[in-house]
This record gives sequence, C-alpha cells and structure tokens, in this order.
Amino acid sequence: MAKKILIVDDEPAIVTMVSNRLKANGYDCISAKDGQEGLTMAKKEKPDLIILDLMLPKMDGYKVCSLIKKDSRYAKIPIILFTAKVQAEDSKLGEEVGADAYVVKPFNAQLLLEKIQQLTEKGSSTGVPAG
Amino acid sequence: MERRKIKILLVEDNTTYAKLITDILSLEKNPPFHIEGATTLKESLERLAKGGIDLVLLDLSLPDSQGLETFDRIQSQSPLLPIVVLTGLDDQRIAIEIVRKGGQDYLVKGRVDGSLLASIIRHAIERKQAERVLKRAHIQTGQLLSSLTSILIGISPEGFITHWNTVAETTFGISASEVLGQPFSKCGVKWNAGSVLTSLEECRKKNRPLRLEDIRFQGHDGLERLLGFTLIPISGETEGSFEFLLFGADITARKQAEQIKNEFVSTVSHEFRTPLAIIKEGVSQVYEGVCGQITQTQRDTLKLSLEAIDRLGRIVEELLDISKIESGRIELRRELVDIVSLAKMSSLAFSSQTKAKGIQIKLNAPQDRLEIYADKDKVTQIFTNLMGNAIKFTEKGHIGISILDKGNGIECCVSDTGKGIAKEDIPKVFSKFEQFAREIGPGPKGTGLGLAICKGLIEAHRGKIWIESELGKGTRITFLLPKYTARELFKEYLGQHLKESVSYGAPLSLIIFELKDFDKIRKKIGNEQALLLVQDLESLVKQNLHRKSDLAIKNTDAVFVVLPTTEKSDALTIAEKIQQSYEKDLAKNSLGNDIKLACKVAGFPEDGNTEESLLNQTQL
Repeated sequence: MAKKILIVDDEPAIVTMVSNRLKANGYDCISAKDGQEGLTMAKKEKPDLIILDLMLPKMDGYKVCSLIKKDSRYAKIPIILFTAKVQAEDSKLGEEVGADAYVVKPFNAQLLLEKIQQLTEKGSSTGVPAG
Repeated sequence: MERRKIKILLVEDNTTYAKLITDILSLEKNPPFHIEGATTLKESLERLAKGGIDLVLLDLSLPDSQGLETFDRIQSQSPLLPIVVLTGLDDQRIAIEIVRKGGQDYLVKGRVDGSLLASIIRHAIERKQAERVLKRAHIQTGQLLSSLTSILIGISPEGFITHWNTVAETTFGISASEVLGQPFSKCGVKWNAGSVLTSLEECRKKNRPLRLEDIRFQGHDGLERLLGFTLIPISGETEGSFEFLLFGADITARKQAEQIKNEFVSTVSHEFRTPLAIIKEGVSQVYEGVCGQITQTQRDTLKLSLEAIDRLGRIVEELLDISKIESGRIELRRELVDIVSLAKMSSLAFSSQTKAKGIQIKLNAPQDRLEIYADKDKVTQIFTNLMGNAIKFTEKGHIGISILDKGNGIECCVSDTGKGIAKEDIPKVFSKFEQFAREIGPGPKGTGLGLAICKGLIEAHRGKIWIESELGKGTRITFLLPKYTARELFKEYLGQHLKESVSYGAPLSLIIFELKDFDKIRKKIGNEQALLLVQDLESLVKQNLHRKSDLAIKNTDAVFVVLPTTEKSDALTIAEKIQQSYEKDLAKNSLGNDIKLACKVAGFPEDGNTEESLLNQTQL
C-alpha cells in the first residue's frame, strides 16, 4: 500500500510541486494550508510522514510539530521541517520540538526523497539529525 | 616684594573705637591693611557700591540701622564680600545667628587684640574665597548634570540616593523629590532589583566600572522597556567605601530597531527563497520528465535555466550571509573538526573543474588529522570560497592548500599561480562588492561578496585572514583559526547564555566534574585507560542531560557542563546522581578506591551574575 504523506504549507504552488514530485515517486499526498488545519488532518489521517512548513498562518510549524510529538498517539509520525527560514537558531529550535529532519528551500528534490524514504522505512521517528 | 594691602571697610559709628581698631590693624604688616571708615549704613552702602573692598568689619548698631537688618542690607549689597561682625557682649546671640546666615565671623568688642583680629580677617577672606569656588563648581556641575541626555543616579556609600537627574525622572516616572535620600534598593523602579543590586556589589568588589545591558524595567507608561547602563565606582572618604554613579539610557528603541532589522533579514530570506524554490522545482520536474516526455531541445533549454536558478540561489545566500555578518548575527556551532579532511573534501568538489582546466590541486599537511573546535559548515564555506576563487583566476599551474599547526592555532593557506592582484587593489580585497580582473571573460561575475563573507566568518571564530599577491605571479590567501581549549569554549558558551539569563531573569547553572589526582591515576593505569575514564564520564554526563541547550564538554581530567534555564537546586540533584552513578561504575571495576570524582555546582542568580563570580564559586 502506498505511503501517505501530509504536506502542510501555505504556498499553493509549493504544495502542487511537492505533491507532483511525491506522486511521481509512488506516494499518496494530502495537504493542509495552515497550522491548525495541519494539526487536525495529522490526527485524523495519521499519515506516514508530515512535511511541515514553518511560517504558517494560524499556528506556526514549530507549535504544530511540538504538539504532535508531545501526543503519544501521534509522536511516532516522522516530521520533516520544510522552510525558507534558515538560521542556526531555527534548526536548534527544530531539534527542541522533536523534528526528525530539516530541509531548506530551495530544496534538492533528490535529498528530500531520500529523507522521506529513510524516515518512512524506519516506521517510527528516531531523531535523525537535522540537515 | 610689596604685598598687596587688604582693603577693609570699617563700619563703626563710635569714632573712638574705630580709631582703636585702625591703630591696631596698622601695626600688622603681614599682610598690611588699608582701612576706610564709614559711620552709617547709607555711607557703607555707597562706598561698597564703588567696589575695591576686600572685607567689611561691621558694627551692627548704627544710627540708621540696627542688628540683623544692618547685616542683611550689607550682605545683599555685596554678597561676595566676607563680613566680620563687631558685637557687644549682649549681642552674641545675634552674632551667632549672623554667622549662620553667612557672616564669616564675629568679634566681641573689648576682647580684640591685633593679631587675633588680623588672623580673623585673613581667615574670613580665605573662607569666602573657598566658598565662592565651591559654589561655582556646584553650579557648573548642576548645569552639566541637567544638560545630560542620559540617566544619572548617584548612590552614597551607605546605599542612599544622592542624585536623580531629570532624565531619570522622565524615564522611570519617579520624581527626584520622592527618592532623594531614600535607599537605592527601594527606589521604586520596577526592574529586577536583585540583579541590579548584585551588580552593584560586584562593582564594589572589583572597583571597576561595570556595564549592564538589556535590563528589563517597566516604564512610566506601564510598558516593558530595556535599560542599558554603566555602574561607576568612586572611592569614598574612607578606605573601601564607594559612592556609585549609575549612568545609562533607555535602549528600547535601539533594540527594537535591531530586531526589526533581524526580522527583515528573516522575511526577505523567506520571500526570496520561496519563489526560487517553486521555480527550481517546477523547472526540475519538467526537465526530469515528471510532467511528461520532453524533447532534447527542451531539455537543453531547461538545463540552462536550472543552472541560472542555482546561481541565483547562491547569490541570495551570499546576500543573506553578509547581512548576518554585518548585524553580528553569526552564530557558531562549534564542534571538534578535522581541518585536513575538511580541506580534502572541499577540494574534491572542484575536481571536475580543475581537470577541465588542466590545473592541479596539491594538499600539504604535516599530519593526517588536525583537529580544532570550529563551525564545520562555516569552515567548509570558507574553503569552498577560497578554492573557487583560486580556480576562477588560474588558467595554468596549480592550486596549493597547506595546513599548519601553529601552536596557538591552525593556519590554512590557499595559493594559486593565477592572475594575481595589483598592489593598489590589495587593501580592497576584503571589502564588499569589490571585484578585480573582471575582464577575464564571459561567465559568472559573482557578487564580490565572497571574500568579505570569508573575513566575517573567520572573525566570528576570532581568527585572522590576510592576502599576498603579485600581478601575473599568483595569490596566497591565509587564515588562522585560533585554538580554543575546552575551558575557553566552556567560558564562551557560559558567557553567551549567562547574558541571556540575566536579561530574562531565567536561571542558569554550571557543573564541573573533576577526576582528582589525575596524574597519579594516569601513572597507575596508563594513558589510554585514563583517557577512557574521562570519556566514560562524558558519556554518562551526556546521558543525563536532556535539554538541547545543555552543554557538556570534556577536558583532560574534567567535564564542564552548562545548563541554561536550570535552577541550581536541580543542577545539584543532577550532579549528585551522576557522581553516584559514576562512582558505582568505578567500584564495579575495582577502581573505586583510587579514583574520586569531585563535582562543584554554581548557579545564577544565587552565586552572582557574571562568569567570574560563577566560576569563582567552582574554583575554576
């Protein structure tokens, strides 16, 4: 059965692009356009992985990540933080909220696909270092 | 040398007495006196109005004026003149009153002798002079203080407020009259009083000005604001006693501007990178056939676009880097890195370019591994930049990379046999946007920021970078990365986080674990085993630390730990736990008797609010 990936990003073009890419590689995609919706969908759909933008309306990516990871029912879902923000503090913060990986925009599609594969194969989040 | 005569106006209506005084005084030569007489108040005032008098000898009962009034009239006519009052036995009360009002002295008639009078006159004049100088200085100081645009608060050795200037009044919304004479600790300013008082203590102990930034306080409008100030100790009259001046300003606006600039960089970075990501991914997908098959021509065209997108991406990164460097926002994530392997890896990235051009890269290092605490990504960036430049400007010959251990640091050099740089251009090499040899030909021109960024990154490491070059011969760029001992790193980390703690009022703790008599241990069980002991300690410590901002760093015989946001009491618990666990393990390996683990804990705010006070507590 195809793995299901939830993309949470407020840029519709990004959602379209990333979905295309993922679908072309055999994944199923669902999406949300703000933090609140993202959180709700994550709980409802229980995806195999979440790609999470940081600068989101209604609830920012860090908060969403933190809430998901703190909830034992969903903590095992791997989360890739996906963002155009990159400062040293931001990736440190990412570690603090329990993210499994950190991908910067503009992104290398190959790299993203590799990370998705690693994280969904393991089946549970193990704290792969951000990079 | 003839001494100037002291001119005295003798105001006395009893002519006999007046003559007596005049005669007495004319005998004095040191200094000589010149006496003028007046018998009424009116006459005195007229004479005084003409000037030239140094002192007034005044009898209070005159035909046209009596008692205090006489004095008052004379004093208002000539406020700068010393007045010595001549009084009868009955008038002593008034005379004392007059001295209190500013008269210099008084003499009881009938008890006057020449030398006493002369002495009184001399002292009266000197005293009046001194009063004048003091008053002038006081007025000047007052004017100076009131023209200040900074907060000025004066604190007496006993801790009471002696000065509270206008700026302090408006900043805190507390008037001087409310606080002058009150204890500083109760001045009513809504700030972290404990922190401020601790700093005062430290200033006293060190007898040195102390600067504090980012002290939060509540302004008069109730809004939270930020204060930056310097405490200046001034030696008091007795040994070891100090007055303090608190000299500062409301820095809220400045900090807000900094924050806006920072957010701007963040926002701009987001705004540039998001569309770039969309373009890149879109073009990639079409190029790779994800959206359907494409022709070769289409593929070739898109490839050019992809390369341009990457170029644009690099330029955006450079702009952001230089922006961060300029606003001092470079944050280093130091770890132990092997510079030699870093250089090797960077050079590998250029292997296709060098092959195409037919130039060699030679790596020269005395050892296979040279380790130093540095930010791996940033050092890689520096190497990549320097090598990229070297290759760009070299058509034939070779590129040399050398790495040397200089004892106090590691020196890396990237040299080439390329175009070189003209002597007059060398000083501009590390400036922003300067570019040389652009006539080299077509191809990427770059932003001219590369070397400026390298310089910024090296200086963030507290290192140095410099260049040697000769037109037509080649260029050498060398940089030095200073070696940081574990101790220095620990102190740097502590300093950074302590600053935040003080500003936010959040706690911070540090723990030092030390293996006692390490040399003896080394002799007993050998170097390798001893090293393992420290490594085990480090692992054990790290297992027990859970926050991302916790730092544990190992030294030869110790492990240093910084725990931001942890209370001292919790740190003590953690330290004890680790100590017990470690000693248990030692016992298991029958090393328990020989090896003891000491641990010392210090915390903010309990042990002070500077690195020194905390480290003192742990005797480091």
